[in-house]
Amino acid sequence: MVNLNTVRPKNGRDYYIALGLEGSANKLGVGVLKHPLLPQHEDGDLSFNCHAEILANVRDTYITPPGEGFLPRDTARHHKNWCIRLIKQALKEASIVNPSLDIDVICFTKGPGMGAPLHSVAIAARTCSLLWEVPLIGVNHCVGHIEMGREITKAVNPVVLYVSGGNTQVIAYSEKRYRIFGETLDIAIGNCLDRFARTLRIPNAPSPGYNIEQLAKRCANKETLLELPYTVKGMDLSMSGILAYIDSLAKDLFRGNKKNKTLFDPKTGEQKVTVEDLCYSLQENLFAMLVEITERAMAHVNSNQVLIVGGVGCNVRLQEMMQMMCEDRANGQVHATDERFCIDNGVMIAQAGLLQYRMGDVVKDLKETVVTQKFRTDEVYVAWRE
Amino acid sequence: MSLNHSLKLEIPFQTAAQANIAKQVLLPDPILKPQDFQVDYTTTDNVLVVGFQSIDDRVLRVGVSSVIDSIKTIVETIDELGPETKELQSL
Amino acid sequence: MSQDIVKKISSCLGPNIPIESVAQGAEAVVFSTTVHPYHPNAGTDKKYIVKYRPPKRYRHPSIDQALTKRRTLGESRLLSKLYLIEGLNVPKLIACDPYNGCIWLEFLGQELPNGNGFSNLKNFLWMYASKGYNPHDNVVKETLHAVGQQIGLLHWNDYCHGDLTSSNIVLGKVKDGWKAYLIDFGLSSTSNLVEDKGVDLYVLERAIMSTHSSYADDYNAWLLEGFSQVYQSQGSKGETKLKEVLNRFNEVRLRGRKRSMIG
Repeated sequence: MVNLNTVRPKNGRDYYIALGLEGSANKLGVGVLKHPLLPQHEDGDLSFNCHAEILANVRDTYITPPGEGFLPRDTARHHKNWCIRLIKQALKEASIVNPSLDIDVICFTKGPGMGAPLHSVAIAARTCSLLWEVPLIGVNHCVGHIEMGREITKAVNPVVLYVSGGNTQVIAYSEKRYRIFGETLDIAIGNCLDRFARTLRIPNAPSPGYNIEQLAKRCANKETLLELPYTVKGMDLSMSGILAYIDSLAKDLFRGNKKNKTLFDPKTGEQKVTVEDLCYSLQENLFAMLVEITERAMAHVNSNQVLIVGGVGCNVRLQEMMQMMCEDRANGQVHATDERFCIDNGVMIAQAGLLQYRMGDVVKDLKETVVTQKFRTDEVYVAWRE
Repeated sequence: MSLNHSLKLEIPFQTAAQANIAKQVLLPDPILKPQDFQVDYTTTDNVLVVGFQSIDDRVLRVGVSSVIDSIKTIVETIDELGPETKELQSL
Repeated sequence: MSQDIVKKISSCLGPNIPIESVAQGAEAVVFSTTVHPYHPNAGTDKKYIVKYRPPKRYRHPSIDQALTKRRTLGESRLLSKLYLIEGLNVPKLIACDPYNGCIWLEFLGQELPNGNGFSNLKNFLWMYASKGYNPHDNVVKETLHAVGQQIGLLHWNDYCHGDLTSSNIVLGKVKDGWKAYLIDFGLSSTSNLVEDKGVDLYVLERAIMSTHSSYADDYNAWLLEGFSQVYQSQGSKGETKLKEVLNRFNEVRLRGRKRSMIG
């Protein structure tokens, strides 16, 4: 039996408080989360229903000019500049006066992500832990997304589609691990969209693909679609070929290469395709692939719930397509969150970390807090679920 | 090649406890190329002493600047969030 | 399953063909019927499978139509070729309607004992992992060898399945064990590239690891033993090719693990 109250709150309080620090990519997030101590958590698989209360959820994004990606060093510098200010702001919003007394555990992202930004946040987390004498927990970023999604949507045991700048995975829980059923064989969906946005010289903020989504909405001719490669391999997919192809189309379009018959009428030289059309076709094609592999995983594990998490998960079109897929399956349900939780944030790290902490997991030696760029979702032992 | 380029930094903190915290925070991270670059951390009272050794001045510069960056974060954390901070109490 | 799908398939098949739902996969819905599509006197003692790919509302109609046609036609063409390969067990193709996404096949498999469900490899392995069974029973090993041999034979003939999971392998009871059939060739292709074969094996390995985690190492080892036997039986040429495929399989696996996972 899972006992989520294995470790009791500090100082005889009847609630837990966790501080969560996230900085694995270009978003720096600090969250403060409260779990009440409830008797029903002593036995049973209730980790999706912690009655979590968000006391603070602040974020600052390192924004690069359109056409440029974020580099690890510059991102790390951003995080260093803002980390302490953000922690102070979060503590203030949460009305925490004395962190030593009021905080049960400090949770930080151990990986996966970019090394330098992860490291700069880990340094702040370690210092706070020693300064306040509060225990530390290293959290897997992907598990953070999953647990926050479950808590917000109350999805008990969903198939999880995790779509972000660095990840594209279809995940389902089985025997104490979040197992990866399908994933990208090359680049991540968010990366694919970001890179195409760079080709189009449109900004990547606030989330991967947001501006492509906006352009796609304005596509005037939604009946016809450009034919793009459709590359689903079992429950896995590949996206680099699609990106290379659509990139070349965009470049020909900007260059006005009339020889390209897909884009220009060979007789009149008239332009047939717009940037909006490209965005629309790309999105329709990529998302159809994502929904298909999710449905494959659902059929394979006999599940009827889907939870979409990660930055690309805010995309309304993706959510809509997933909804339609689920409606055609028996009792199908889709769960998704909005940009407060889809986009990387500190609260999700606090949620996953606090679950770990309540099960008795804690950093015993600071050597365990060394960050790691590669940290697979299925490496984490999920003690808090049956 | 020998590690014959060296530098010693002495960073005074307000208290010995703070210097010790800084040391503990810096210690865990592994050095990527130990054959090219080495760091050791010690404290004497309230002073954090960081010794660097490297094969050339370029590697030394990169390594030192990265450690200084981390120390800056530690100092800022202690200043802004430490228990002695009056400001936090009055937040 | 939604009534809507049943209505759609019934309108494709016409009024005189009773169907019974068997399973809803991701891509296709599977029905069984006792009526032969064009052989009215075939008798009613035989069962047939009707595999239907319903239109997917979630995807753009032009993607949907293209995929349905490509996969239905591709699967039919492939099945007809694979059926002729000696030793390879695939369902016999009876009829195909690519524009409506319908395929008729011979019925394979049966119910597993003690209510353990339909006899695909997934349910079979789950049954042997459940209480009262031994997951390391010799029959499990032999069955996985047989499955590995089927995949080996497929690859040796330069075909790739594209979606190898334990749900896509059906077992049929024979005298002293289980005969393995490969099904669901919607993502399959002819390919002599080691890369495609390596990815095929990797997809299967991962499917076994995620679906049958506790005994995955043994299961995968047995599958690979069966796979290798086919190549090894082809002499030195086979050995060389086997080495190529297995090396690439390892590379794909490493790529999968090493692939950076940036949040």
